[in-house]
Amino acid sequence: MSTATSTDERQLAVKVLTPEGAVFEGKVRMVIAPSVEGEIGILPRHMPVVALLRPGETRLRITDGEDVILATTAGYMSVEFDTVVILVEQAEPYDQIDRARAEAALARAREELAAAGDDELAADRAQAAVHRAENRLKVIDRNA
Amino acid sequence: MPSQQDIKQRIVSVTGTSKITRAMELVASAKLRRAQLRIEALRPYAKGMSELMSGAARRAGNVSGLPLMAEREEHRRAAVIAVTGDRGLAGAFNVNVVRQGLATAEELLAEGFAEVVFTAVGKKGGGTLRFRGREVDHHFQGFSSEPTYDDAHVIADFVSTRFLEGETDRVMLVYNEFKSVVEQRVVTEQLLPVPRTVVMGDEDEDEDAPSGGLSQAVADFEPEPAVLLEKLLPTFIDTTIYRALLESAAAEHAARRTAMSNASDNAEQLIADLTLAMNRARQAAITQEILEVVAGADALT
Repeated sequence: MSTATSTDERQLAVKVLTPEGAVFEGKVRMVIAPSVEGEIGILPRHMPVVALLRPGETRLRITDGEDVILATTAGYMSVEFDTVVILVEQAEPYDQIDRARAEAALARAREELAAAGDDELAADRAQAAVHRAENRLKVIDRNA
Repeated sequence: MPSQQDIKQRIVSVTGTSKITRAMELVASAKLRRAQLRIEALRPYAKGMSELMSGAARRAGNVSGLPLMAEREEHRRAAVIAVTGDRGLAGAFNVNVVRQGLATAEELLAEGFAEVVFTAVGKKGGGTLRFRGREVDHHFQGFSSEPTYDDAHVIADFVSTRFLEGETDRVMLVYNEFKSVVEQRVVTEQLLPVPRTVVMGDEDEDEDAPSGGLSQAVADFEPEPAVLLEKLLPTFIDTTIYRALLESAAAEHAARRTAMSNASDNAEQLIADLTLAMNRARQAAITQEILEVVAGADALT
């Protein structure tokens, strides 16, 4: 255990959790998450915060040159004692998103939405899929 | 007395059946393991969710204004969500849920509800409930063995919408809980309105992280606790249903594995009995023939 207290050495313990399991667990220097009220950046020693997240991209800065970028759905983030817990329905690492597949997924979701017609439940599901696919593409475009 | 030929045929048929039950047992074991892993994977998320929710609820103070939590005075109509499997051959797995669902319906009627409708999840439960002449408002099926979060979300949306529109005044959830590989227990929970005690949480019993509810008392909420809580509740309902679906899937595979293992054992026993009977029949036939030969020889001398 080091007794150093400079901000440079302090890190945040981050967990990105989804119902299907943890997507990221580890130490980072900074977290930038898409809150409903705008992007918020979290550095070590941040005050406790609970925030609602909108679909978008969450950046985890491991070291200065190395970011982990996740396409995340709507969810929640809580920060306390240098521990950040992000709860989202889905989180996909940017480098694992395949553009062609993301586009195909969007096209498929739009078709399903069109085919759903009066079936509210199916329409609901398709709409969610469309949002997810659009978000994925947006994240790719932003980082391209 | 059946002939040797008859017995032989039965042995062949029982052997064939035992091969099927053995295979089903193995498949159920593999699926059970996967289902257990998915329950494990959900646990941290579910825990984080309830911590966040109880934190927000405590900060919000008055939560009775939230539509999803408001206890209703009228008792017009209640809904029972019965989570069963899509397939049978799992022992008493499906029957237990249906029986408990019907018992819950009786209790609701006794409590003063004018009417009880069922929302069936799983092919088996829906079929049985309709056969018994119960009103089934929707029948979800096709995902009992490997449910996804999206499946849960669709069910949650359906029941929440009906609740908020005033179609139902209370929603109960009945499903098989996976206790262990050999034990499944049918549990009944109130889903809507979301009970106060569930939202507030009963002061963390199993604490394995230093992230208690304490610091949330000073946390900065963005948006305000009450608004956040209103957003959190639907997610909480999704998660609750998803957990029930996963528990039920694991319980189904465990029940099927036990049932198939018993069936395989029975088949083995049956084959042993039949083999014995066949040997006996063969021996009897030989003895009979010897007797006939000896009797014939005696008659000649």
